[in-house]
Parts: sequence; C-alpha cells; structure tokens
Amino acid sequence: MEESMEEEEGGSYDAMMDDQNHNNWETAVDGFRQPPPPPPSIPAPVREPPRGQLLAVPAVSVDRKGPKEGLPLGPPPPPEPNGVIMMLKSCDAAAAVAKAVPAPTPSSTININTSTSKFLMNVITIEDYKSTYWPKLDGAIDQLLTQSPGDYIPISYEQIYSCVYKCVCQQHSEQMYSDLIKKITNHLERVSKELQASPPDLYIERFNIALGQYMGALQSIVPLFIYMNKFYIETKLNRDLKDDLIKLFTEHVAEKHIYSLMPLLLEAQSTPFQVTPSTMANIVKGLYTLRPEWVQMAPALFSKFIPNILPPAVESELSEYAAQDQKLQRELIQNGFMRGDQSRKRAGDELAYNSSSACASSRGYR
Amino acid sequence: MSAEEMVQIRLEDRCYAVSKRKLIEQSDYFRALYRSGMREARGQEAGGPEVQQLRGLSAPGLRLVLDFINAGGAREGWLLGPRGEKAGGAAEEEEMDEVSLLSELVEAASFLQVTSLLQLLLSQVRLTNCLELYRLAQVYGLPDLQEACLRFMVVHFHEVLCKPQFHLLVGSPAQAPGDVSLKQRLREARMTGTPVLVALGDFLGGPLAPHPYQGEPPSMLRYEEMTERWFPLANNLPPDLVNVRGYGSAILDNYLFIVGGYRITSQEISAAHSYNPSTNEWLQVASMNQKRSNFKLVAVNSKLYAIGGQAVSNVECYNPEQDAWNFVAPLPNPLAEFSACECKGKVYVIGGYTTRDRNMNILQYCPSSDVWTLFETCDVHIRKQQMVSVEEIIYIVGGCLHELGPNRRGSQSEDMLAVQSYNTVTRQWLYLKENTSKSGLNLTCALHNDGIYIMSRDVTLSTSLEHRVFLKYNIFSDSWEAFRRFPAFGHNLLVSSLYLPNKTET
Repeated sequence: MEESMEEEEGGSYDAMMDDQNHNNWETAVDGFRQPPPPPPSIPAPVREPPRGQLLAVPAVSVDRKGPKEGLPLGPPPPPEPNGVIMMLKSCDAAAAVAKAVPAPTPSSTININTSTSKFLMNVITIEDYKSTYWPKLDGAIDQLLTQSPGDYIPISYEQIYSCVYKCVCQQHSEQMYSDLIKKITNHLERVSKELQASPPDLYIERFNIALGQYMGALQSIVPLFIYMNKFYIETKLNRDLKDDLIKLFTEHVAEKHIYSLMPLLLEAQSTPFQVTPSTMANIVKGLYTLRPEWVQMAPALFSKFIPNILPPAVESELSEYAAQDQKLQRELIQNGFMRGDQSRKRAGDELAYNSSSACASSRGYR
Repeated sequence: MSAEEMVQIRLEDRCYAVSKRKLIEQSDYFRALYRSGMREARGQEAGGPEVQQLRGLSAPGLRLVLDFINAGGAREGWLLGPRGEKAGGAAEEEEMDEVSLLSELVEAASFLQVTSLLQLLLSQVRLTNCLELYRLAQVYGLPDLQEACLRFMVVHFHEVLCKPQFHLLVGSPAQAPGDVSLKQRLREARMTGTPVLVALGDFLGGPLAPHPYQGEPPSMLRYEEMTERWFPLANNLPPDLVNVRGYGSAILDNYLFIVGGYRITSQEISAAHSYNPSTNEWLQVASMNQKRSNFKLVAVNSKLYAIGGQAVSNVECYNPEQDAWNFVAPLPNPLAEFSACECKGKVYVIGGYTTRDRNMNILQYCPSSDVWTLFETCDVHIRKQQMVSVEEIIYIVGGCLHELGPNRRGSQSEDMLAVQSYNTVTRQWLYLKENTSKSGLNLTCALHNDGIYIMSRDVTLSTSLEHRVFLKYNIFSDSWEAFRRFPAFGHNLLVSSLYLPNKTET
C-alpha cells in the first residue's frame, strides 16, 4: 500500500518538478529521472528542442497556466547568449558556457536571475508559485501534519527542499512564509475544534496525541524549510521557523484548552493510572516547553516532571518530608500496592502502555 | 568501529562518494535530510535509497563543494577554485573561468547550505569576482557575502565602476523600485572615515622635517588635529608625478586626482593619476586627450572637468565609469591665471586674462546641457585666486585684486591675502577677511571641516615671511584661526581634505 503510494507520489513529483523548473537541464529531460526510471504518467515530449522551454512542460501544465508573459511560447528563437553571466563574459566564454550547457539559455528574460543555473533559469512568477509550487508544498505539509509520529514518510526530502529553495531564490519567501503560517494556523484551529468536541474521559489522551503529532510533524516540516528559515526568517525577520511554529500551537491550541485541561490533569494526577504516566509526562513537559509560566497553575504537578520547579528542600523540614513519604507509602499499601513488588499493577487494571504515546515521547520536543 | 560510512551522491549520471559524517557536519541540507525522517533519511536496509539524488546543480560546482566537505572543511590557504593554482593561460580567460565556476560553486554551496564554505568566500572577494559574488549573494540570499562585496566595492570603487559588468548589474530591473542604486550606495559609503588634511609635494629634508621619519623625506603628509602635528603617509607620489608643476587637482568620490601639468623641462603632459586613500594606493587612469598645464580640474556630478590651460580653450570631461576623457563644450576664449570651482552642480570660472584683455566675466558651465554662459560681469578684476564653494557660496581666497572705477580701496597692496565670497543666487560679493601681512599669491587651499585651510605652495629657507602662509579661515565665525605651522620646507605643495579609513579598521 505504502509502496504504491510512494511510486505514485514520486512520479507525479518528478513530472511536475522537472517540467516546471528543470526543463532546460541538459538536453535529455529523462536524464535526471534515471535512477528510478518510471516514465511519468503524462508522456512529456522528451527530446523537444531545449530552447522552447514551455514545450517541455506537459500539456496539462500548460493548459492550466496559459501563456506566460515574457517567455517565448512560439518557435524557439535563434540561440543567443543572454543573461548576466553571459554578459559578464566575452564571446569566448560564452562559447565555453554553450559547451558546458548544451541547452542555450532562453533569450526570454531580462531578470538578473537569468543565469546558467539550471535552478534559476526560469523565472517563477507569482502565478507559477500559486499554481504549481505552493500546492506541492501544501500537499506535503498536509501529509506531514496528519500522519502519526513514526510513520513511514513517503515524501522525498530532496524534491520538497528543491521546491522551497527555488521559491526562495526567486523572491517568493515572504509569500511562502505567510502561506505556511496560514496553512498551519488553519490546521491547528481545526485540531482545537476537534479537541473541544472530545468527551472529558478522552480529552487528556487526545490532547496528548494532538501535541505529539504536531511536534512530530515539525520534526519534518522544519527541515524542509531550512532554506527559507536561513535566508528569510532568520535574516529578514530575525526569528526562527521552529519557534514560530511552536508558538502557533501555543496560541491556537494550548492556550484555548489550558483552563479545561489543567483541572482534568490535576484530577487524573490524584487518581493513579487514570492516565498513563507517559502521557502525563508528555503533556506536562510539553506545556512547560510551550509556556513556562503555566507552571504557576499547578506547581506541584509540574515539579513531578520538571526539575527545580519547587523551592529546594530545607534541612529543617527533613522530618516532615519523611512523614509525608511514609503516609504515601501507607496509602499505597492500603490501595493494594505491595512494597518492592514492581511486577504487578493494581488488580484488575488492564490499562497498558499506549503504543502511540510511547512513540510520541520518544520523538520528544526540542 | 568500521571504516567511515560513505554516501553516494548522484548528480545526473555521475556518482560521488562522500563521508556521511563529514556531510552531516558540513552541510545543513544533509543534516536536515537525515533528521527529517523522509524517504532519503532511511538506510538502505530500511528501504532507503541507494544513492542520494541531487538535481539541478552543476557538476563542477558540486564537485568543488564535495571536495571541500571531504577535506573536512576550511583549510589554511584555501583559494577559490583549483584554477588559482594553474600556472599560465591568459589572465582574462582565467577570470572568466573563475566567474562561471564561482556561480556554480556558490549555488551548490547555497543549496547544500555548506555554511563554512560560504563563510570562506567572504575572504575571497577580488576585483575579478566582486560583482559576480555580489550578484550571487543577492540571488541566494547571503547577506554576509553581500556585505563583504559591498565593502570591497567601496574600497575599490572606481576600479569596479569602470568594469562593463557593473552597469549590467546596476541596470538590472531586479533592483526593487525606490531602492537607492548600488552606485549611489557605494558613492555615499566612500564618504566615511575620518576627514584628514593631506599635503603632498616635493618636501625638503632638514632640521624642520616632519616627525618622525628617517632618510628620504616623504612626499605625502597628513595632519593630525589632536596633536597638531604632521605625519608621513605610508606612501609617496608616483615617480612620474615628482617635479610636475602646474597640474590640475580635484577630489572625486574621495579619490584625489592629479592630472596634466608640465615637467621641469617645460614639457606638458596629459597623464592622470588618482590616489585612493582607502587602499593608500596611486592608480594611473586614462590620460587626457590634450596635454595641458595651468588649467583647472573641477569635480561636478561625479565627473571631472579639465578646463582650459596654457593657450588652450578646450574642455575635457573624465567619466570614471568609462575611465575615459571626452571633449565637451570649450571655453569661449583661452584663459590664463583664472580659477574655477564647482557650485551647486555647475562650474564657475572667474578672473584671469583672455588673450587680449582682463577677463571680467563670470562664466558658468552647465554639465547637463553642455553649455557655457556668461553669468555676470564684475567690476573688480581678480587673477591667480583659489576658489572653493559651500552650498551656493563661492569663497575666493587670495589672488591679485585690481579694482576698476571710482570705488578703489585705498593704497593696500593688490596681492594682500583676502577672503571674499560670491553668492551665486543673490550675485552678491562680500569682502570677508584680510590678513595684511600675508600675500595672497601662490597658495593652495582646501575646504576642511569648518574652514578653509590655506598654505603657501613653495616654502624654502629664503622665502620671505609674507609668502609663508599657514592659516585657516573659519567660514562660520568669519575669523582667522591658528593652523600649526607647516614643519617642512618644500616645493609645489598641495593641500586637500580626504577621508582616511578609521584607525580601528586597520
């Protein structure tokens, strides 16, 4: 099942990415699809004259986008050295470049991005971005947001990264960043609504799953966007993508649920094993990561999972601590716990470790 | 532990083997890839790919970057590309090779985010690659590199400016509208540093020689205002400028130009040199079409104008963007002993003699329309004066005044040192300040900070006191100020004000 999905996924990516952006790579378009050579589902004219760049785009894509302004759609013009790189060189060098890149640069744009770079050869207009690039990213993000942590991710890092890279180099960072934030905000608002509809007995567990799933998704989403992070968010906005995305969860999910969640957590805490300890640990640590001030709502609860929350122990109160521990032990024995016997749980308790939450905890938050 | 795990990277039909550890260490792309949990992050045994596929990069660029990664990052003496080591071959060809290789390298390094390699590029900015690196830095969003290129281009402004590629870069529409042009930014950045009074000439040694130097007297000195002392600049006039007199000098984009003049042998020359204080270097630039001496060189609107000369009425314009001189509209007559300066984007020529008579006309040259006009006729004749301007006011320093008509000033000598002003808007003359014990002839002066620094051109042991002038006229307080006596004898001195790099930068 997964295998076939991957094939499909990969195939369509290849078709879209290559045709849209790499259409001027070397002469043979099929060259790059070499290692896994499944022919794209849409038969692309493979040996089209390289200059007529749009001719290499599958018909589907052309139909959707229509004629592009400034790009030659008709018969290819005679090869003509062009672009800054070309102008930076004398004729000799131009010849050298022509040798190195058999496909002559399309004499289409006056944009500075016109260069021998295969990535940047074609201008990505905002329409291209909206019709082709963002939908690709959108799909990948959807998949990452909704899969369970630890699932096999059939997405190719290289393809999505390339897509982000091109958009950044073609000055679409601002748009892409805003689209990403909007997309994730929408997703989180939906998550929040679903949580609100949860019955109280499932509320904690569902919150934990939502948190784990989102943090797990960030493990993949953030690396995909590192180019945008480095060259736009860090340098222009002086922020960090991961922080921004974590903040979104705080604002759109955690803050909206903290007041209903906290009493349930406190209640669950006082009833051993109503919630698995790992779930409890995840949520408490997660909440602390999102907003350390939330400790104030339940210092005793947070102190169980996070060091140095409560004031340090004082020597004068040692006897009191000992008395507390003895009282706890007595209560546990009364409730059926035997000292030193770790193999048994409370009689009749079938609750086992939930595999998904265990997995979530192993991914952790950074 | 077994041998290092190698990763196969495929680009087109070639594979490159790289140490996985080094790859993760040096490339943010691969570090993120292996953390992402995606298809390529898995080992082969877990269904991961046999090779890491890359697309769209150029093979030579990728190879350079992978070589860098395999070598474990930055090494001492790393140079851009292996070409640098190759001996022989035309320099130009190498330059072009470098440029194309460079873009491939920067692209691969940017794509793979090999930060240490990109960092290393900062120290590799050269005249041959600064424009290309700047462009690449813009494309790939590398602000540090862009900054380094800008710094380099500021320091080597005219050399960069006259590269044909510069105009392609600047003229590109990639620049956001409303953005200050690159040229303008560089030009403004040239005007930073410490304004320093610089004197050059043929200094003579002796007991009064500037401190501290040994051996040959220097030909360039700088004035330190705090200690009121002159120090040698660690440079000298180019040999072919020594003993040249009657040259024209002007400051353009914080370059001091010395143009034309005549040698001791009375032979006129057309050569032009510029001193770049940012690099402390002299450059020879294009020579004028006309040999000329005793002419005026004026900087207007980022160009130089060489006006007239001994029996010469033609005018040439030097554009640093082309490093070339071109004739423009000539003076109506050849002039002698006249002076000229820039004021509000126009050139004003005042005083001297025509071939027949006193020149009583103020001539104005408009560079944009390339036309000389008669601006005004005065009733005082002046010659051999110095001129500087502040806003719309021209300051006329020294010279020989000869008043015509009934308003003649008493019996004062005609060459007494005086400062006058001429307002080009109200056309009003003001006689500002005089110094009755000094002569106004044979001076050199420079506008510096709040005043006009005035010095005699030639001072030797035998020079009389009235011809030993070291004064500052403060234009705001309209007063003479002390200007520590020039501590050396010399001939053919020139004083000017230049921005020297701040000390902290050196």
